[in-house]
Amino acid sequence: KANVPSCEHVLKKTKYEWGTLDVDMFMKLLVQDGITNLKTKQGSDGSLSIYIPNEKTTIRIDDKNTHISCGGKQSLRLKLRDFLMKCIQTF
Amino acid sequence: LVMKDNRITLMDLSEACKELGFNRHILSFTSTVKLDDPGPTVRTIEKLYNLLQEKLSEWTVTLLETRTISVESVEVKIEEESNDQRHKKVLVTWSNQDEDLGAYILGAGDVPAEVTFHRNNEVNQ
Repeated sequence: KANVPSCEHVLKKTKYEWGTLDVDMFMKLLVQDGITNLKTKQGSDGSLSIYIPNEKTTIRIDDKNTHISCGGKQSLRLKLRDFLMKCIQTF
Repeated sequence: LVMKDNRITLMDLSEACKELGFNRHILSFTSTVKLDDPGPTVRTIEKLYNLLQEKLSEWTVTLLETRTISVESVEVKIEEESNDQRHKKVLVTWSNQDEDLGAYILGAGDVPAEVTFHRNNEVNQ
């Protein structure tokens, strides 16, 4: 059973991301993990969308934002989160 | 707290980032699960709101006019499946800083069950 998050715990461990996501490194981590069935699309606004069709998951990346849309499968989301955190600076 | 001109100053986050020359990058998530709950969507969202208020007593849980539940950066919306009021989709969006809250609200499979929701298996949108 998931524990109710406490304010104190959340505040203590909060980190903020900054800078630009290292997309090449992110793609490399995906491939290394065997996630190779990818489709990418460059947006006219400079954004990059990465689709993982098997998982019906989309990652949209631009200079200031990265958004993951996925279903309820938390194991993949957490893996993607972990990869993304390795490709961005935090403070 | 930011040290500036040999003085410690309290700044809000965006001001501090500007001062330090950091361009913030916002990492966020949207995750969707299916929920079976007969009755109108507004009633389902009220049930979920009451439950989250009770469970997340340390946090400010708000029910917005747009029928969205908000807790910090976490937003919860419910959509009805077409032609069947019983089947609903719960969309939860949150920023990385609220991972624990977002994952709790989304992932605590027994939370909806406590208010007589029946949660479907994981689905992809």
